[in-house]
Amino acid sequence: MSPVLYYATTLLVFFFDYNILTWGLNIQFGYTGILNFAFIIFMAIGAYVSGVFALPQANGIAGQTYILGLSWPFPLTLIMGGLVAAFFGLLVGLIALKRLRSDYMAIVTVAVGAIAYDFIGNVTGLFNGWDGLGGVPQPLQTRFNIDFNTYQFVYVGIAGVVMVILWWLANRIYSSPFGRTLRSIREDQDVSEAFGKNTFKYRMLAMVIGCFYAGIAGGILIFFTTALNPSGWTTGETFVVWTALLIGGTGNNWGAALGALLVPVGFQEATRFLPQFPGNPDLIPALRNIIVGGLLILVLWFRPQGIIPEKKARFNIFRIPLHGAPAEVRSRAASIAASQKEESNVTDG
Amino acid sequence: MSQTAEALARTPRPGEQTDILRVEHLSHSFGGVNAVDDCSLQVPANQITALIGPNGAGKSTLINVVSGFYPAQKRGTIFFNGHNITGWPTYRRANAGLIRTFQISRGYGGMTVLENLMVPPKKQSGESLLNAIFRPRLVAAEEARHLEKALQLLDTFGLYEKRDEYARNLSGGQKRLLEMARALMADPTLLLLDEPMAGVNPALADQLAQHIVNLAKQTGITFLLVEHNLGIVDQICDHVIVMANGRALATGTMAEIRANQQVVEAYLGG
Ligand SMILES: Nc1ncnc2c1ncn2[C@@H]1O[C@H](COP(=O)(O)OP(=O)(O)OP(=O)(O)O)[C@@H](O)[C@H]1O
Ligand SMILES: [Mg+2]
Repeated sequence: MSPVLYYATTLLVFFFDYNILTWGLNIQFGYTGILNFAFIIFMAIGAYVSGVFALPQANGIAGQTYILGLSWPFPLTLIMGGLVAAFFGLLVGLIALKRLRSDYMAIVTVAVGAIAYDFIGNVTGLFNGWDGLGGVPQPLQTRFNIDFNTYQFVYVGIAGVVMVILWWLANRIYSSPFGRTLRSIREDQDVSEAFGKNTFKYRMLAMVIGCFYAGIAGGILIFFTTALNPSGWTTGETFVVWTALLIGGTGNNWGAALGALLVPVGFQEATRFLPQFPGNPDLIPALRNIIVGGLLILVLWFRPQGIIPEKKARFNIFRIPLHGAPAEVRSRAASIAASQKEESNVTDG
Repeated sequence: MSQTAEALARTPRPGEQTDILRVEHLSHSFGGVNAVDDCSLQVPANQITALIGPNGAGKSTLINVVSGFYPAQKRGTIFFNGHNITGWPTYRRANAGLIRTFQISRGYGGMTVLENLMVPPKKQSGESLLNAIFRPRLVAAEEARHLEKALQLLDTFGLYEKRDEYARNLSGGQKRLLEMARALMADPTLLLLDEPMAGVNPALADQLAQHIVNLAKQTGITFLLVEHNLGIVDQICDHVIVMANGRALATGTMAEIRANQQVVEAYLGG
């Protein structure tokens, strides 16, 4: 395989993965207004848990210590990673979302992130501590014995399928009444509460779904790189995802995808492969941070809603034309309501 | 008790006057300020009741406590539709039919006017995650019904042309109208309106007043209306409660209130 092709497919997997991650954050912040500054922790949990479900039992020979080691097959391993991350999202949500004030919530997540980081690093028996997990078996690799080069394409396919499913789900949620209620909570939680919405429950759901996305993104990452240690998910990584979302456009999954393409993939991953300046190994990462930071300031200054802002709700998904005289529109809406009621009675009743 | 039995127990016998809201010895203070001070009052069902009184009398505070927006401070009891709702969270009161608007309009600024109206309907099946994902037809049918009602209300409130505008771009008066239209989408049993006409032009205010009267007649919604414009109060309200210094000072018809010496001194001015 040519280096260029290898490089391109690698970036593509990273892009797909960061899409999933940024959509997860979008569900929490862009849809619901939840400030989660420990977002990357849930990616790490998803990665490690997927890893230890896929790895064989730790026997100490390779020097790694970790829990479980169940040798489960893909995609169960990935799903477990997502579910466990979602479960931890639930626990953090119980602490962070109970009160109404969003600054309180943000502080709690920062603290939780710091605790989780040190805990996972220091408790070596969990996920092999600061050295992290390595040698995680890749999905379908061993079973079908695919050669290294072909596998690169197979993995693009695997990540792509997972991404498309989660893209569909994120947009389905967005345009549903459920998503509308989430957005109303983002706009004014008190008013939604005054309209009978159990806002704590909805915010918890958004938290859990977003953390599920993060967990899946973690699984997709570790099955690709086969290894992960805490230096791969520092607090700084949380802000990479935040920057991607803010630059691309909060509340818009296309915007989030553009942000994922620009920030983590474009600036973080692609520049990682640039030649280093002799005698000054820190120059490229430093420049990268300056450029990303500058871009964020420019976007917040000139286009605070992001490059691709949230779209107005149009309601045309329900085939109701909202143009024309009120009376005409109303009668048309009424007839559609009647016909769809019949349909739904037939199919759902 | 089964649900129907409970409903029957609450249904008033013909000719009997029931109070949909009963506040007993309610107090609420901010630090040392007793904004609501041992206040007791009743709001009769299926009528339009006005809550009037000088600035700072505690009217908005009362509405905030009754709607659950300010947590109860362990003094006083609130009965709504036969339930003691004193300890209930806000959303539960709303689901029971107690809906309120805010004195300073609050809206979903980043959502369109029409979308604002689509949030309040209760028990939307599409608000469940599983239905949202797996039962799009059921959800769409329900959406179409809500949409029809929303368009009708927008028409009534003169906001039809603004339906696709972001709510934050409306004028102050339009925000008031939006807030009232949106509250009606929730199918309230009791609607608490905190100065709904403030900042609305007189012609439209008259229309709104007429609309409130029609709604009360046709749907049986009970209104509790905080209002400083006594002309409108006189015109549409069946019943008036005067508040001063955190307490209900007097109740009665507007004519009775005008004849009440205490009220004239406290509020109407000599
Ligand atoms: N959040 C608050 N914190 C402290 N004091 C408050 C608060 N809200 C109201 N108050 C005080 O409580 C008293 C009653 O206020 P409230 O808003 O209920 O009056 P109101 O009858 O609605 O007046 P208006 O007709 O001007 O709207 C006032 O003295 C006010 O200063
Ligand atoms: Mg007030």
